[in-house]
Amino acid sequence: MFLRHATLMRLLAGVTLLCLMETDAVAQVQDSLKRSNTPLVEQLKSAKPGMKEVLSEAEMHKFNNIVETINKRKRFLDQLPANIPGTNNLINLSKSQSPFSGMKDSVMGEFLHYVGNNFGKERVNKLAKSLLVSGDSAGLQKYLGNKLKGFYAIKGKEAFQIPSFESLVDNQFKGAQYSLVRDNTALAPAGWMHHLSASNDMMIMDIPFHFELANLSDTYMPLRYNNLVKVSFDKDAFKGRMQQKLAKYYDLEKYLLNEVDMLSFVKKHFEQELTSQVEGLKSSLVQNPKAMLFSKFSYDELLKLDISQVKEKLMPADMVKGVKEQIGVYEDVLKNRASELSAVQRDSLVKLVTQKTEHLQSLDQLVTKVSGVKEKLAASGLNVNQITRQQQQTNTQTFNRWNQPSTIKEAGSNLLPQNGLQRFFGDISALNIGTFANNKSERSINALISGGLQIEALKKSSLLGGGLGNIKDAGFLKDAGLQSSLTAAVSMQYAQLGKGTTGRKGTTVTVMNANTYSPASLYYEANNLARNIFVGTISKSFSVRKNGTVEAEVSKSATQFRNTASVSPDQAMEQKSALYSYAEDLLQTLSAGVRYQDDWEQIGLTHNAHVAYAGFGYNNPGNPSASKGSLQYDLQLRKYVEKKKGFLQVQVANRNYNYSADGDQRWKNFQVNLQARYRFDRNLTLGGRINQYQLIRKTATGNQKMYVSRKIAAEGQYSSGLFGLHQRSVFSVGLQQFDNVYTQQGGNSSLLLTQWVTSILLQQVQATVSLFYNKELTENKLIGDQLNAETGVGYTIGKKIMMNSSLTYLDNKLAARQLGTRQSINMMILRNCSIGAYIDWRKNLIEPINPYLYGNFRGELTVQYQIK
Amino acid sequence: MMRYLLILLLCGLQLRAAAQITFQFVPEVQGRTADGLLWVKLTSLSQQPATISLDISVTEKKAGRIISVTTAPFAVMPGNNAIERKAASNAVIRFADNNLARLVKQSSSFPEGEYEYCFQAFRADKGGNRDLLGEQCFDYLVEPLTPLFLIEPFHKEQTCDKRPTFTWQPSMPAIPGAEYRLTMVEKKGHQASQEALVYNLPLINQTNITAPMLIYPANANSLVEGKTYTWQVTVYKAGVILNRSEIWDFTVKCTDTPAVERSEGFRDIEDLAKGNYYVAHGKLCFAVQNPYQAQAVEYALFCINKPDQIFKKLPKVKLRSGDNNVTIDLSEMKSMVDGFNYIFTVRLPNGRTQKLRFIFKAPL
Repeated sequence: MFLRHATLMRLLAGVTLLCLMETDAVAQVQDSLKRSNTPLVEQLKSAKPGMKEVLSEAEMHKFNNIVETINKRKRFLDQLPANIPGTNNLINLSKSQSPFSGMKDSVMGEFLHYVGNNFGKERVNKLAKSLLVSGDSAGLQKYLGNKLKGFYAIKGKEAFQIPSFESLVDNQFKGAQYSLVRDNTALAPAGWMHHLSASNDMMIMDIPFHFELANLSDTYMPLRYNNLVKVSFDKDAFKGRMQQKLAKYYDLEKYLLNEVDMLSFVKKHFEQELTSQVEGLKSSLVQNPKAMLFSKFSYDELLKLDISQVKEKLMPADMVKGVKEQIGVYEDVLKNRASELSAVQRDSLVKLVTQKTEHLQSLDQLVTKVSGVKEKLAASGLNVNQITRQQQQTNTQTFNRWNQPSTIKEAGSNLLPQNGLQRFFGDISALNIGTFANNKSERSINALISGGLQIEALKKSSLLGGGLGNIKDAGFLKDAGLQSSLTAAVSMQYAQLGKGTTGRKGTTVTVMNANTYSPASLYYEANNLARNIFVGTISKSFSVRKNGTVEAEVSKSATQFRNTASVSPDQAMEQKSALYSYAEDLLQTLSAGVRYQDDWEQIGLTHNAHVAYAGFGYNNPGNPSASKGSLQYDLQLRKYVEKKKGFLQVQVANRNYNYSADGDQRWKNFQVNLQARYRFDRNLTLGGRINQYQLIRKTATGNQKMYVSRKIAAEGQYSSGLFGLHQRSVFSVGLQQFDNVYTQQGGNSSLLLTQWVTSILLQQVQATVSLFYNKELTENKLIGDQLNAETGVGYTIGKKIMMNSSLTYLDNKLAARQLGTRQSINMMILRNCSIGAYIDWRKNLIEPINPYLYGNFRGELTVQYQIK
Repeated sequence: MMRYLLILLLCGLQLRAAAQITFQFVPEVQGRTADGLLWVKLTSLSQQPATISLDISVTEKKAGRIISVTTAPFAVMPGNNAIERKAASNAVIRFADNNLARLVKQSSSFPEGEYEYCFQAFRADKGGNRDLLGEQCFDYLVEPLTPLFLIEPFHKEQTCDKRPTFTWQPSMPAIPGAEYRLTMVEKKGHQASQEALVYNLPLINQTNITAPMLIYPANANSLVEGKTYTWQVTVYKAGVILNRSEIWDFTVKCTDTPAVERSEGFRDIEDLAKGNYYVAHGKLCFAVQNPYQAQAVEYALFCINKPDQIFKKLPKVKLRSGDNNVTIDLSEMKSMVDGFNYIFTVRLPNGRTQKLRFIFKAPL
């Protein structure tokens, strides 16, 4: 009997829960139940022939609970506006047809008003008609069901008239900055630099766009690209804005049907069970046992306290002892002094004894009942700790779900009135206009685009993207003085089609068409032969184990010069599009690579392995730095120790380059890099690194070492008290060796590089001493013995001015000797405005031999206005 | 410019007799790509302007003829001239039928080989007169450049060094006269590395570097803790970009040992205990008054998230007589878990017990 009761209870719990949940939520609950090892699922299965039936039953009753709750809820609108024509049909239908069966007329009126106002009266009208004609179609039911869920979750009156956007245009200026830099170093590419930048956020119909502007110029050197602009659709802000709006009008936990609070369900059940059990104890003595019980306990306490605690609180030992003693006294009197008592006195005493005994008995019974209910609950697998844990889990899941773009998108389109443009941007995952970086993948597109456009839409799991623009090298302030580049400028268009989510699991196909052009301006010129380049790339990624990802990519390019004549003398022009010759020279124009990254959390190991091949003829304008003529593999391993207190990293790369048509000659680049660091305690961290990078030329006659760079270094950080003051030091010492066949005629250079920085805090002043010293250990001097020393103080004046003043000294045995000062100041002048200045001035004690490395003045002035 | 001319001379000006037009071509730069052929400069020794078309042919020692390019007619003035853009873009190109030519066609650059570049200028006026006005050939052993790899600071490295030394692997084979330029900019949070390089002001833009390393320029401002920087090295010669390195980032972050920081201030333990939310970043800081003689602080910790946790070896704290600013360093205690809630119970010198609930945040 007991088992049947418990089973039924669990079944009820299951059905109620499942009724209120969407199928995926059901899955989540099932999942969490399975994980927490409750026998609930098992019981459900045994109680009914299968979960399927339970689920279909749940489907059947999907809206019953919602309707029931809405019926009970207080009306939001005092007076309903006039009915939408034709909706009477709906109201009538509500009496018989699901999903509205049982819905009160007034509630239905509110619901229709909610749908009509927010999603269009015509739509409601249409729905009413089609419901009349088609009856209970699945699609219609789904639509109305979703709207009903929304209506169920509304917060208040405001939700009956949600605007599709708050304002047509809402502009928010984020800030601007102007910098002026003067550097008098000889041959400096830009001696006077100006930089003006501004950023701005603009919402158009609640769709956020971010604007970045920069103007960079050099006083003497006109640049090709002074003005840079980037306009981008801010997907995160869009998501955030929608979340904000949803939260304003709706109770989202309700919408996600997560208010099915398992703990309160259990509490409710416990309360019912307890009430029915306790009510049975009603007697002349205890008129209202429930009230008595709850005058001492809350449900929470009853649920959480163990039975001895309950007993102690209900029947404190002192009290019981007192009562028992009293009964003893009465009984003693009745027994030993019965002859002295009158009949009335005896009757009264007997009554008292009975009353007191019964009182104790009823309290005892109460404790037994409470204990029984608690035991029953525990036996059914629903103990408090478990429920709390499950509740926490479900809350986390809801939170995670609520932050998923797909949930926000779904909720947004179901709950908020949206115009066409808003719906369009709901599917857009990226939109960029102007000068921007487009880094999709190594072989598809990975470049800075100028004068371009990029758009990408993600619907369900399908990706559709594309873009156009110019990819060109140089012409920016950083390139001042450079007049041409071997990398040809191209104007390109690309399209991308994919399936699956990016990153973890998916396949993307990218096709790119590009044409070279010849940029020409007074200071930058590069004539290029006109040609058409076509690249097709397939990128595939899938996940391995828990954290691993494998990315594989194959790409093939084809180039066709525009004015190609055949070798024969009739000069017949060949086709102009590279697409026609796409199948030619397969191996030479192919690039392929596989990368496997993984993270073994338990042993603290991460790795990144990569194998790649590229033919010499592979030409991808989408990634000007893509390697060609190469076969390479590289591996990086990182092992953390003691909760990331330290790590050991190994990196090995072996790259072979074949730049000849016959494959006779090869370049072999080999790198090995070892790095380790360990934090002993809060005060001391030590680390070290060893690396070797070398390039070998392999010819038919043998190997020739072209270049070797080796380094061994130790570094550390140490902090401690020093005469009652707090100090921190950072130091490193390293031996660097270069061997370059060209510049050092086979000889090598060895350098001892040391560095020491100590900061000490003296009240409000921070003093810093820093030393850098390089010692050349061999005859082949690379940079000369050099000492850079600086000693300075940082301090604040008032609350708004921060200063740094230092003395500097530089001594290079080969080239220069300078003594100077360095001063920087940062000042808040208004709430949002700050001014910063930096001046480094040096006096040349000897005339520098290579003055392009040793300027004696650099000044920077920056004015910043920032709205936080 | 002088250097440029000197190199030109060294490359061997093989001036043919009676030539009216001479050519300036730097094969170690311009002889690497098909496009580079069009960057040849022409000097007209004639006093009169002329309309010419240019034939360029490239042959390799083993493979033979590779390509030939014929420009559209363009005007040449007395003195120095470049090929007109229109004439260049309308140039007709012919590829020979061999492996090497196919590679050039696909990659637009010349694979390894011993090349001869010949330039012929023909008169191309309306009269149909096709006099040879100048002819010149240049030889060069082309060896395509290996990529320029960066070494240090390592990509995505976190460094304590605010004036780091930069090193990279040179692009090989070395070209006489080629130099490096190193650009470093600050990278703002929302920017991609390539964007940072063009949108932001270069903090270092050092040119004329000959060694594959750069000591942090003495007059540049030191890097700032917490900021991320992006850098790239370019190898160039005579104003022409030959090769660029990949773009790397590094962050200046020195979190392993505590920074020399100003104290966050000590609030009275009684005040702290009144509030219900205190976040202890690695340590508990509070002020307490001790009117009695120096004594040790008696305190205990209780973890709300893990009630059965036992705390051993609590750091010892001594109170002086008078006002005390107490710091209890919790960061080295292994039992402390980031994000967990704790109750700190302390017995004050006046005999009262004070409880403080706090959330522990690991400092690293």
